Amino acid sequence: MGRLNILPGYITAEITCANVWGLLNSLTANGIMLKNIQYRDDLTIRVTIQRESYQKLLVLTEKHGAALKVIGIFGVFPVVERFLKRPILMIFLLLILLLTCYIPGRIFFIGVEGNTNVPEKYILEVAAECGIDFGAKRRFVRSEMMKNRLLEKIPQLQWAGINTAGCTAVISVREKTSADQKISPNHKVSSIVASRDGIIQSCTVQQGNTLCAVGQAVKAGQVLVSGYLDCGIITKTTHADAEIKALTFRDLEVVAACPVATKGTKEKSKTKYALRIGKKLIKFYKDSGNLDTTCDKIYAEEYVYLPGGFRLPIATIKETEISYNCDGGELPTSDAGAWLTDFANTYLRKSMISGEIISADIEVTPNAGVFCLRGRYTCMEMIGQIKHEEFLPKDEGK
Amino acid sequence: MDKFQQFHRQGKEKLLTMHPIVELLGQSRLLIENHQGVLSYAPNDIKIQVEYGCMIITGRDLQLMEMSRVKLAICGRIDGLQLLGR
Repeated sequence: MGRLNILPGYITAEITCANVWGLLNSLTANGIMLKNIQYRDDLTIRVTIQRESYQKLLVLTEKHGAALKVIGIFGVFPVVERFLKRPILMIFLLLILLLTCYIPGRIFFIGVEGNTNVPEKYILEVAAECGIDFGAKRRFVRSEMMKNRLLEKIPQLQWAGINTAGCTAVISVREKTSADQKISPNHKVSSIVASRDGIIQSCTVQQGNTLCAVGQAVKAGQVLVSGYLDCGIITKTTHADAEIKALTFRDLEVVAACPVATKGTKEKSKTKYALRIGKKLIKFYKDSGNLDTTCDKIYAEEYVYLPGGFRLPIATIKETEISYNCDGGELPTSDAGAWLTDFANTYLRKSMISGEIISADIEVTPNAGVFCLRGRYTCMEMIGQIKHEEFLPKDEGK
Repeated sequence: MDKFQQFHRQGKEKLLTMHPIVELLGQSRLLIENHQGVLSYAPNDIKIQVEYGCMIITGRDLQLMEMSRVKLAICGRIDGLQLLGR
């Protein structure tokens, strides 16, 4: 028996005619193959024919004075034709098809677990540098490479790994404990070296081989307490631990402009909004940047989170600019001297590990619209700095 | 080709082109080849025109599954098959 071809399609039609059997015989005599002839009543039948025979059926039914009613059109081509008549639906279906192919191979949600001290944002930034970003391809995610890069960039981490499931990537990290940081497996020997030039004033050694004495002038980088101890037959290794104070000399030059602007009363405030999608920034304002230098800028970024705690790469950005009235004027020499001295002292104390300024030889001079402070400072400070020695196993050392 | 062979060949051709071939599969399916049209069709009986007269198929829930110039297939519960010569 012949089968209906599903590609061009087939039509189910209801024929009502006074001589319905005569019409059927006429149809078959004209080469139309009828399928599933259903008896409705003495005058009506329902038949299924190939779509290409429809025109012939139309002509013959008209010739016999029969009424023809199409019940349904089935098959591949008729369905495609119907879809082509609805372009929006077609585009939508194509879009879904493309997304179905695209989405499962991409990462859209990135989470971090196991971190307590290292900020999640920093880990995500490093991960983004390694290629784990919004929309990254899953097959390019290499856990080993990622681990190496994370450990290299973030020394506080002891271990890192990445697990992907669907569109989610979870970066699991383990931070180093304080004990881990003190004794790294690669640095089992450490010495104390001078962080800068100076004359040693006091030397308290808890561990290690002392190589300096009080009153000795040392240069930056010179080993003061060694982690290696020569015992004749063998060499002992240890972590050198010492507190070495030295007299150091620092030359400093600080410059301040003569014309100064003082922040006055608040003038006006302006709020701007923007939307960040991935790396794209969509601004909802015309001009960008501050209006002038006399305004403060408050920047707030709020990301969208899913109920599971996964952060979507969509953020609203709110920038508030507050303008102030500025009072301009010249900086008096006395004030300039005090300000520069204060700044220099603060800067020096911050730059020292631990210590104090013993004496200072300062000179403040106005020069071409600026105040310049030139000073020579004598400080008493800790110059001992731990230097980890590369520990080589026995086999490698030979 | 002798006369006997010629007569035999002509008869075979006539048999294949003109005479109806009826094939009954159990009680549920009937295939008729070389029919000459449907005379009437109802779920209980179907009358088919053949070369030598009429063929009446009786039964229940009879349905014409396929109908073309040469073939005709009937499905349903077939209870009787009657041949009426001219």
